[in-house]
Amino acid sequence: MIRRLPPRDGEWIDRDASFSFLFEGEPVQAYGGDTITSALAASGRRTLARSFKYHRPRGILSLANHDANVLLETDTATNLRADVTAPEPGAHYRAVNTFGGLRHDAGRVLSLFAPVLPSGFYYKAFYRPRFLFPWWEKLIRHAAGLGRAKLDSISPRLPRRHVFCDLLVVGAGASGLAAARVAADAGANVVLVDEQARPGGSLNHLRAAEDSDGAWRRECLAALAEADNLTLVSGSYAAAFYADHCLPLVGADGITLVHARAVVLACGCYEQPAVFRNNDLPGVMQAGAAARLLRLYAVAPCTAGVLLAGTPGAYASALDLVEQGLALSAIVDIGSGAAAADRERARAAGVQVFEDAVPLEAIARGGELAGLRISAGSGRLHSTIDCDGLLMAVGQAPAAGLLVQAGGRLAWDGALGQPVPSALPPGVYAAGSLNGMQTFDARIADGAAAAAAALAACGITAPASAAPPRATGPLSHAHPIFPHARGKAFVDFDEDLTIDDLRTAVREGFDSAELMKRYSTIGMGPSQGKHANVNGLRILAELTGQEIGVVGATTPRPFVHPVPLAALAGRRLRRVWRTPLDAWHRAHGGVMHEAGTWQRPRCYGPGDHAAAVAREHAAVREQVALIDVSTLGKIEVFGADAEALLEYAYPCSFARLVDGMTRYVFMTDGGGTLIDDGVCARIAADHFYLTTTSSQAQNVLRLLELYAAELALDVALVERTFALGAINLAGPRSRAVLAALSDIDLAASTFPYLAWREGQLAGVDARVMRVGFVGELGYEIHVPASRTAAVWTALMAAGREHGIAPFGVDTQRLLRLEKGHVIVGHDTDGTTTPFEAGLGRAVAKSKPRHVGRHALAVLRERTRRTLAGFVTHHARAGEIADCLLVIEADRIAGRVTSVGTSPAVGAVIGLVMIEQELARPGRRIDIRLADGALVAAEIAPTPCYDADNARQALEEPGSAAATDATPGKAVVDEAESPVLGAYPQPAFSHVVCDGMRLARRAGARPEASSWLLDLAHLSARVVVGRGADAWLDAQGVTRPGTVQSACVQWGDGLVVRSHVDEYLLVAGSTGAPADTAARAAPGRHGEALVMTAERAHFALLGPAWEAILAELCAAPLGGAAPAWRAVRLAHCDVGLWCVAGAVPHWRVLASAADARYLFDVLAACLDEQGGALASAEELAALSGV
Amino acid sequence: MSLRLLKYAFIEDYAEPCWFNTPATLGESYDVIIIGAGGHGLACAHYLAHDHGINKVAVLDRSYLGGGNTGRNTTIIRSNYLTPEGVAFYDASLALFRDLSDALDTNIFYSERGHYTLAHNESTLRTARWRAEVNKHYGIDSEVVDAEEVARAVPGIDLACGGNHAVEGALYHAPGAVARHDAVAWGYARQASRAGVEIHQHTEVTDILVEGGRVTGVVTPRGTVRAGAVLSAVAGHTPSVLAMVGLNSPIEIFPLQACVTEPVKPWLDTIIVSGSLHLYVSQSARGEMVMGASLDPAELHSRRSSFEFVSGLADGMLDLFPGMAGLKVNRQWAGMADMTPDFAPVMGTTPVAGFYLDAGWGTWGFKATPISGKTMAATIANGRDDPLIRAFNLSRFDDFSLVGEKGAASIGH
Amino acid sequence: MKYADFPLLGRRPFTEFSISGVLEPEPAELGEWTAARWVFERTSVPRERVEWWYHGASRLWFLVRRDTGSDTILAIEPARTGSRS
Repeated sequence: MIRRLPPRDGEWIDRDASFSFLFEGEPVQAYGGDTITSALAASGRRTLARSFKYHRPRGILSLANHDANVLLETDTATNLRADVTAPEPGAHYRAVNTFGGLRHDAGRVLSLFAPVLPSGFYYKAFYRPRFLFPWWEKLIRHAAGLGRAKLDSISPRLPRRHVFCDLLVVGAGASGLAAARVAADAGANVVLVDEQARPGGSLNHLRAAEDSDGAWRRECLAALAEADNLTLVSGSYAAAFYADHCLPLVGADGITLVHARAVVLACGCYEQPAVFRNNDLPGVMQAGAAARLLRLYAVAPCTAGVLLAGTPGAYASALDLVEQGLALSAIVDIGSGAAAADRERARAAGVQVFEDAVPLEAIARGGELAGLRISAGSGRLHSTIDCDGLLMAVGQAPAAGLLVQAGGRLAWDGALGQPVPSALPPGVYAAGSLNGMQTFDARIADGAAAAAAALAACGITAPASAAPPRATGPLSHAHPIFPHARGKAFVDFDEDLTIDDLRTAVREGFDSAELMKRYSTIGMGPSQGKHANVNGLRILAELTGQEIGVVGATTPRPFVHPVPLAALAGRRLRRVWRTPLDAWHRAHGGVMHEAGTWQRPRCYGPGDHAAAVAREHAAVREQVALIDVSTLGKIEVFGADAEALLEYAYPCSFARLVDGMTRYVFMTDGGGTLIDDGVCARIAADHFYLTTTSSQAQNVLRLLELYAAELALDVALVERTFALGAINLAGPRSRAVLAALSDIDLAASTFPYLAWREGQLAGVDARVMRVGFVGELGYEIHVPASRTAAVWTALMAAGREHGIAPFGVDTQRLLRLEKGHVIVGHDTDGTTTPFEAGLGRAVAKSKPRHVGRHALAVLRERTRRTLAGFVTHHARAGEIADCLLVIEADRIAGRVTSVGTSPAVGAVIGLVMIEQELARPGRRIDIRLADGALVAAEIAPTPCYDADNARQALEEPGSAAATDATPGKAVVDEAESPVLGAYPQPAFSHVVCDGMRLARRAGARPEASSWLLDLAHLSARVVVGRGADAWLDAQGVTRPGTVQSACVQWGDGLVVRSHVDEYLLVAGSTGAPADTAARAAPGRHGEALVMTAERAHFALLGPAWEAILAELCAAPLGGAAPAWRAVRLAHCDVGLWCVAGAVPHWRVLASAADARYLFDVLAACLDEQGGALASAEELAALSGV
Repeated sequence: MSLRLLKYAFIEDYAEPCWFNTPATLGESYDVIIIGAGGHGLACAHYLAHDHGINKVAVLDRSYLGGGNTGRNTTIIRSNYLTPEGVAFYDASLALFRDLSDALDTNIFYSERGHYTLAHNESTLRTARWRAEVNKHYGIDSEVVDAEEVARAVPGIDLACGGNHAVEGALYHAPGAVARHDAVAWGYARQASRAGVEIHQHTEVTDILVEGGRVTGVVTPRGTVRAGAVLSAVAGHTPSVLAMVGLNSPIEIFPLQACVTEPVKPWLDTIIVSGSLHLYVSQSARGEMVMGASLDPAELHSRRSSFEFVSGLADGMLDLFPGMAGLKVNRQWAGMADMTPDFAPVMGTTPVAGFYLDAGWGTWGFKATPISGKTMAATIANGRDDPLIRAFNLSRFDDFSLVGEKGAASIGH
Repeated sequence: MKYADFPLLGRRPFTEFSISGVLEPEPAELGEWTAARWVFERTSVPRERVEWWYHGASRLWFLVRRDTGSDTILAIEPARTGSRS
């Protein structure tokens, strides 16, 4: 390590931890704390990469991620920023975008073509003749891009956390540390972030005069370390400033998404390069880079250095670097405005000073810096200074990307020679060198003032302190741009853009900041113009003869530094709903498939799909079969205005619907488009029970709640989609099977088609509806989710003698097709109206007011297409698929929406959405197959099976006698946890501990300090309606006042007023006698309905959960925690509340369908945090019970 | 090397003549004033001059040329639409695009890549087949391909999508292409400028003068200008311009965001759109992965970026391309999409005589740039709707005769 | 990521809500409006307006006054108060 210097205080390297890695095939030594670039510099290498367009040799420029000169790749990672990335022992790094390696890069030849590759050259060539372009494009694409994407090395996704604080301070330099200190002392909740490995900012490498020994910084850091209300996040960058003070802090372990009440931006400045011929040679670097090499990594930047001085402070920093070991032979003063004393002090230190100088060009030898030719003094004497290091100290530009993204604005300050903040949005404050402060004292005072103002805005009292005045003298050289007749004066190192390129752009009409940028691509490279934009604007101002303040600037957008997709993606969470019968289906050959968020069986094995469907079809038609329809939307509508709500929400009429009966219903939006259909049962004048399609369940509930609110109706809506399982028992023998288990009178006269009845089924409260979706005698059985599997099993047992079998969705689809039933969303699309779907007659003309009435009135008269059935015996009919077109006189006349081979008809049948004139029964239509062949078919009336509903009237011999059969023999007794019931047993052992039924994962770490418990056995009830208050009072339950407020009762039980007229009661785990209300028998009590809540219920104990909840839930959970919150947790809508007492912990209430998915997510997060699923012993030990 | 580039090498201090005719003063009157110097407005100016000899035309823009949605879209060009009207219109645009570099004397990097609309469930696969059948009927190269075909053509794709919603097939549209969006605007601007059309940047139209039901001119901070006809081609600002002539429309403005990664060596040659995951990706000529997703959830007249967009996009993208996890997003931005109820544009004549509309471009505007310019020019020159855009007139909403693009119920890109 | 203080719920991210625009219940009579204008017409210019927001986890609707130009929230109130109408 020939350039390594002796140890110095404040160096970041660990000389005891040395290791090596490979660079371009050769070994390189490094210490712990080195970056790849600092280790390479220590080895004496200066050429570290090749430029993007001309493949010129490139080395260190900023060593601070303000340029993208040194981008490397390994076998598994690409576009690594070597300046700020630690090397991995043994890794093999290569420069990106070289052809044949760094040293012999064949791409060098491109620089010979530079004269014919001006700005925007690709717009001006190779488009005539057109056939040549693809060849030329292939050449450009081959040369484009930097590193290679490593598609087969998949970096893991990184979890993301939400953090809420009073004050976020971005940048831990002098002003940032001062601001954080003031805020921490004032007791505010503070987050301080800095992108460097250690706090201190420029204090670490540029010794400001007043803090030469770092005493203030060490004292400040020690104080901040003590403050438990301050979080210091090092090695992470604030990548963007989004609305409402939301800033993602990106670190190696993922993103911390900070939501701050106020933000102090103390981001400092980007040092700017000078622009002169060959200013990109390896060895030419910014003075700040040399300071970092010397002080942080103890590396000598060069053996014979020259410093280009363009600011008053340049001399002081030059001498400071000499003191650190820089071999400085000369200072070239290009108009620094420094005092004469500075020059004398430099000369006294043996440094030659060239005054009033202009850099003409840097001289290369072997592709690297060898000297600098200048003209100096009044005589403009040319001279050449030999050097292998040229340090540029010509000025800075504010790192103001976050400030502008926040809505702030900058204005050019001529005196300082750089932009400064001119307008700041509420809650955003700028401090330090970003704010035009230069001296150490000014930055400290500015930080304190900014913090005081920010805290005041948050209503936190802090000692007021006046903001110091900005610097007066120039901090940047006004125009460090020195064009050369033979060009190669680089403005943007990322994009290989010279002064000539910008001049071409402006002269060809791209003469505004935005157009110059888009045409020349200045500022569009990996470092987004950090080292180029300000010089670009200076050149634009000069070329257009405008003041630089008028020229404006381009818009800085996220991100400040590029952010990996792995960090942006966060943890992979894919919500899955499982029906209560999920485990049964999987255990009995169910061919599962994703139906939206649900999982449903298409059919049941064994055998191929067609055979299974045929077998199941026969079972339904000839014996009896059952299908899981738990995915249907289910909504109780209860209250004086229940019917008024339905009449407004649905276009069909409810006037003739009487107690005990159901009717088919369909819903449209305001434009008359069909969006859903289902069944509505009238339980009583003020109580209806609705089902919806699986995919629209949440949407219909949302719309009904909207209409109830819009019309201020006195009605309560209770979602029971997940609380109830549903089973459709269908087939000629269905009544016999049901009779064996139920006390309901099933005689056709007392339980006619389309009626509903309630009663006991296998000892379980059930609501049964006679619906004929599949065209057979059938019963849709709705039972509590926790009892559904047991009822299904009882039905299977009772039906064995009748040849019962399960059937899946694909079979159901064929059966309903034979019965001519339309599926909304399958046969209809985003524009279908009821008139086009054969539902026109059911649209009530007389109803004075309902959603879509005005649109439907227009659409009724201009319906030109309709759904129609068809049948075909054509040889190739089997190839007809959904969405093939109906062709009439070579014109598209419609499309197939459903098709299937019907055993009932012995032919291929289906539905087509077709022009009305063609929809006459018997009319021949041509369906075009994928290969263009036409298949003849015939319009047929629907349904083609059981047109007269005779199948509903089947009087099964002896079925009338079923009424005297003994009521439900097999009785289901024990509730089944929606989670554990579905878990394969070996993973969990059950332990019951003082009422808490605990799940303990086999092999969980015993020393865990955090636990996840399943409390599904704790009963819960929903109480709804005008009479709910009275009922609760009668039960002696204290009622929370406002909606979404709650009180803990019965030990750790809960009472929540979840909606306007709805309460949720959750039993306590201690079984307190008073929590009988949470175990009350479901049913109607005057003006109140009591129903089973059927929720999954978890307890989250221990310290690990705070971080886990901060990742999975975006709502703030800290601070004064209200007793109850309905929030979104890992994409699920859950209830979250805190239980105080011996072991304060969180409780989560989720739907039964979400239970398994959410339990898995929580368990996985817990494992990562070293937690475990709770065991009795651990809980007992913990709670001292 | 073309002659145009050699001049730079051999002529001292050479630069091509200024591309844009941007006179210092705003004229008194013009035959046609076009509001909006984006791709559509500039294309219309070009075709007015070249197809109809009308060059007393001024294109006004409140900001810089091509700074609106033209400079913010993800440059996808395709014609595999669902409705006959849509297919005919976009296919005519494709035809113009193929020869546009030559027509504009500017290489717009029109690159046919092949376009896959992935289906992750049965319903989107059915929609893909519907679109394929309609496309084939109109001679558009478009077909349904199975998942294996997708795996063969798209390196790095994970058909299982991480275990949820696997890819079941795709609608493959071979002519699907990308182009350098800025070059299209600049090329049209240069050809229009050569024909005498004036371009006035940073000149906001603050009002439109209407007398007796006919447009007579516009008001700008640089003075009032008389005009025989006024075209509004301002996309996201359409409702505000319509208000100036007392018109209403069903257009609603939603931010549409996009982002790019750092450039990497080209590995993805095709355009990938996922209907179910609502995201899309292609690789630019510079090597950046250009990515986007669906609209923002709420109406907003702003081009601010959001974390939800870029993190949601990353979440879905890594299911499709797990190997992209190490790529880094370098920049994100937003445009303002002017959405319509039937996902079809609103073009042509309006109830106000002399006032023409080119709007409703939602997420499908860039691909229509050439044909919308051509048909709007013909409409203005002849004073009646060009047959190709008759179905897109604003009046279609009056009698509910919507274009059926929404039938596919998923916004294409 | 934007947040607001919601009555009944406290501070919540917008992502917990599905945001609808300005909604009106369908009137019995259209008056001088045509069916087409009632169904399709929008006024999508930057302005302050009252929107309907739905909170899925609590099934509650809220009336939110929002400026669609600056995205600032000016007022929020529950669409249905607990008081018996």
